[in-house]
Amino acid sequence: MARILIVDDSRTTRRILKQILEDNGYEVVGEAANGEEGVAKYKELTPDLTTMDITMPGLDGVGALRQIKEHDPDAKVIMVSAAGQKHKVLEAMKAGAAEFLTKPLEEDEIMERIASIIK
Amino acid sequence: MFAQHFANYLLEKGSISKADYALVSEQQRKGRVKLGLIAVAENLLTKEQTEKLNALQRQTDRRFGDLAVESGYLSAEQVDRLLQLQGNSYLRLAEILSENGILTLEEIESRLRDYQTEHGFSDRDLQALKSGDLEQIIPLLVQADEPLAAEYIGLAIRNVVRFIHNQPLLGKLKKTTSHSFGNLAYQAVTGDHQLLLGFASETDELLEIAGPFAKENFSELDEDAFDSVCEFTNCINGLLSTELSHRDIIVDMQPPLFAQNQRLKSAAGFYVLPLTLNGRQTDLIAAVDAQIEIN
Repeated sequence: MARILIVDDSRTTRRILKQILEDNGYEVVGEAANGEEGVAKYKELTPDLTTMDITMPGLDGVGALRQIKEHDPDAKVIMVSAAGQKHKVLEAMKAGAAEFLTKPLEEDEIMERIASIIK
Repeated sequence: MFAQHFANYLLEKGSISKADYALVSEQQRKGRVKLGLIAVAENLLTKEQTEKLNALQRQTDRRFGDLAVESGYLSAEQVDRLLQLQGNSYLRLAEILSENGILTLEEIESRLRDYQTEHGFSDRDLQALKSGDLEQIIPLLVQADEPLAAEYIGLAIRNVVRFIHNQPLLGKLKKTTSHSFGNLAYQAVTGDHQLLLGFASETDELLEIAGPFAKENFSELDEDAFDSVCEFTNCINGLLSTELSHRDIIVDMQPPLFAQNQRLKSAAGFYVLPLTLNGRQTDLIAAVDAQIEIN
């Protein structure tokens, strides 16, 4: 099963997401609470997939996505955000996001999005 | 929601006692036909699925509808429809008051007319209030001067009903320039509009939001509990941001924050709506295009 890194400043979201992923047989290899930490953990852990919150203090999710894609152009990153704001979606798509998930998180939606990326 | 509001009006007017109010609240909570039974009758769940959810509910003490959605048996929309079928809460209130000999149906009708007159509601407004339809009820109970503020507060209340508590008691909305708090979880939104949404409480009443949203029993208002309330504000702001982006209004959500034992201040003013959840009061804070200071 795929190895997944969760990057989100919310402990609540990290806990819920981790539970859902592990219940569905995925391995959560690491967690990060901001963009800088997320980039560092990505380089250290080289996960198969990363879930990335957009709104975080310091380096935000789109900034972290850009750095990860610079380091590894094949990185698979799903953006997670409470907002489906068009400009943020476009910004992240241009930066190479593979998919989007909207908070509050729904298990079926998460599994569907992951399955579409990890064949 | 209107049933709670009207019961509270009856209490404030001395038409019912505190003990009556407690009895009414308890019976309203207990006396409803179980959602599972309605779901089986509507062929949305099998008896086995209902039993499984009932067992889960016993273990977790959580709402049946939430568990049904989480288990993938029902969609949120199906649960909403079942809740509508479960009954009109105003009619149930009238039934409880009359069956317990607290007020006759004629007295209830008379008090309702007093309520209507005092609040300046039309007959049509009153029908809307009694309908149980949030879309109609919220604009009548919560009237903000600015359209965007009314939209913002309405969205927040609907999400309280959706995620936190299906029968919150709404207090009187006020616009103020200062509000002190013991605890506050909030999020600012910047861009074409400067917005702020938060939930405040004197002591640990924010637990009434934190627990249901995170689906976790918090014993104290610690950082994890605050984080849950912050995420709730984040979700509400996300929905508003999405709606605004459809109108080409661009806003950016800032990371949610929490604060303790301080005061919100704004020369332009902001809205405070008391929300009573399970008998405990929190305050919904909403600001639109107002510079807010927290110190």
